[in-house]
Amino acid sequence: MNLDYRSVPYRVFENASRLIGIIIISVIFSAGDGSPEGGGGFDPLSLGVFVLFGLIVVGMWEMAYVKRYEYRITRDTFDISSGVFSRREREIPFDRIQNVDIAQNVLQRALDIAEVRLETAGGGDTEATLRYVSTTEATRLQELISDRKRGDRERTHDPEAPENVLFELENNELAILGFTSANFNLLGLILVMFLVFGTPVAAEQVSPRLSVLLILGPVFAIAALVLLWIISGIQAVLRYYGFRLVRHENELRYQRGLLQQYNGTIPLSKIQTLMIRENLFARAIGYGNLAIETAGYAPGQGGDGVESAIPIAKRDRLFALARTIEDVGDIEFERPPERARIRYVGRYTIIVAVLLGFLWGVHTFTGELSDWYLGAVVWVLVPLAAHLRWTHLGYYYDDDYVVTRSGFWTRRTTIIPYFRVQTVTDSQTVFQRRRRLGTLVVDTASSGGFWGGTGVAIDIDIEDARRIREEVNDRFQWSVRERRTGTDRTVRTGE
Amino acid sequence: MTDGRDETGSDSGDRREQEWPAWPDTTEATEAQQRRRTRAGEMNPQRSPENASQDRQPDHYEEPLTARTGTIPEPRSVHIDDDISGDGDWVDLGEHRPDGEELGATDLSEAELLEYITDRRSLHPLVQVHWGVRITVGALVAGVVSSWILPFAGINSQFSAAIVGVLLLLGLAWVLLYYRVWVYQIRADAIYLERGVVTHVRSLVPYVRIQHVDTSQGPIERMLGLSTLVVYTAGSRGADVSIPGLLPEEARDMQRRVKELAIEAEGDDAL
Repeated sequence: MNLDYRSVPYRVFENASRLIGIIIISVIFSAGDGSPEGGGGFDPLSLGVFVLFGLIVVGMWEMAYVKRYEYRITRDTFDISSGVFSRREREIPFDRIQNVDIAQNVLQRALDIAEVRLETAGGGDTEATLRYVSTTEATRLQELISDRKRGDRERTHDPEAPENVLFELENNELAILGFTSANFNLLGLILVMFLVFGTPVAAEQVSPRLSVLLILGPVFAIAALVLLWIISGIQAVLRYYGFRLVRHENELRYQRGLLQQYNGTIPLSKIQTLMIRENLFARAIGYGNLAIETAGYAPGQGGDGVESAIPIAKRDRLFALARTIEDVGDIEFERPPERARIRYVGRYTIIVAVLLGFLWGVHTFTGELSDWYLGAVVWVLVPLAAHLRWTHLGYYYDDDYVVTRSGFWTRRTTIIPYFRVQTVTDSQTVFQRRRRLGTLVVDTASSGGFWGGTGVAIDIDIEDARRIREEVNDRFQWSVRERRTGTDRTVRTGE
Repeated sequence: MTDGRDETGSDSGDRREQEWPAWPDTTEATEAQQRRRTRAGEMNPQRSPENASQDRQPDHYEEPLTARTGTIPEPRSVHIDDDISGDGDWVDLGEHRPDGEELGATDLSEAELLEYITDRRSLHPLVQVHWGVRITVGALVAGVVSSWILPFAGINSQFSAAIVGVLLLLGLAWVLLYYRVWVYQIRADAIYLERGVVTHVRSLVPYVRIQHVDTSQGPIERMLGLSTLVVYTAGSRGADVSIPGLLPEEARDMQRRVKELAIEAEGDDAL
């Protein structure tokens, strides 16, 4: 089968917008240095001819690309042969496909075409991207792949099979989502801005006249913070508008997005870990989000870390939803021993000391900041910070799952079934060794970015860490055997 | 858990006494037994005696029963408490067995399994030379760079010699400590590794999760006659585990063991 021919104009448009950018730049540059051709820049005619010629070439290329891109569905594999000059043949076994995603932006919707992405666990990239097929074909492929994955040669199920709606985002929840999804990635930058612009030293160094920055620094920082908040809120709303998660036989399906629409499948049997994230604001009003991680790329937009499967919901509801996927019982977190908290006091004290040292350095070298020692007042916050850090740590394990939790700004609770464990590690830094503490890391294959995929129990008693390391390994081995001997737990609820 | 283990341990312990003749009885020793014997650290023919004596042993390490009494060591006589401390000094079969029938997620019989597993081994001492060379090169590079940069800061470039000295001293101390800490063990169900000076890390890599196993030899390693075993898993963090400082034949032997165990430990890869 071929791609949809309506994708030619869209692909030309995509390339043309890039081409036009190049042309504009070249025009600007050629006008600048008195271009040799045409005498004093392009005249409109030759420019028009040039653009037209470019468009025709691009059009022909895209035509050829679409014509030469073929995909085939065989008994067990999805085959793609593509390439205009250098050909590539690719076969993807159905049972290796992790996610099937469909993305559609506004223009594509107008043309009734969609992008289909097939993700597997291998490599760091999307395994196959069909750009573009018609919307109906996209849906058909998605259905078909999920059928084939279960080994069905023909459609055995009713296309109108009962769709079990797990979650639907309501408007008030969307509002809360926008409000709570402040993106703090740039917070550090803003703080630096605050420090740089905000210190009298910096202001005087630049120019005494700029000492007005003394006042403007914090204002800038606050303005940037608010702006960032608004932007990330709008982004979140656009991204998760109309979010809906349904359970369809052996997979979860979601759809979301206002301008760019996404629609994807997550096979239940491929789920690696679940992660519940509650940032400071969301936690204050009892909300959080749930990420479902597979070994493929995170569904939706790859690259920007973990996508949440459920963007926002009340805490209880999140756990209830998590339990329909992984039947973890009541989680009773065990906190690290209290000596861990003392460790944090020590750690933060060192940070304050370094800060003081820096202020003192500024004082001795510039003569400013004669009250540098007042910085020590910050230490008042240290016990509080240490306590907050400590209260949000925790771990729990039972017969089927390991659950770990950490983080104050964003609290992450990771639920790992033993069956998904890849390696188990305990580690002890020099500082931890002094207090007989250790960190237990339970790794899985999920691709959830820096924070995802691993259950980390920080600063637990080292004896516990080692015992749990062995225990996790033993239980993991049992779960593998259990699978093999047929007592399959893959499909948990229903079915 | 502990009780069950001890029970099964003593049960089959008796059984094995019969299956396996006494140690000195070498005339009738099967190939399997011989291989088994090579795993008892002290008698490993792949290591010269002085190497073996340099092998790091835990403080409370006891010579295997073999060496003293000439009887087959009883692996499962190890108390689970020893394993918990991570300092188990003898082969940990790595599995508590409520039903006492099978080890790990493998189809291998116990006798076969015993052929594959090893006790806690440390690396070949020459690996210290390898690390030392790397440290030295690093220190020299730092020295060259600093001798170039220091004059800009108004410091005599001769200080870079001091920098090199300090780096070398720290680096070589690190090498010695690192070597002392490194321990690996082929267990029944997983590879067990201990390493790290500043951060002490102990990991378990279950065979079921191994994607592939490589042996590799860098230029320095080739000169020293050493080899590295690299084990890949599909994990997201620290997914690849390497065991440096193996003799080439040792590395191949390890590769074979791990490969066989990984094949036997069939199970889907949970991806």
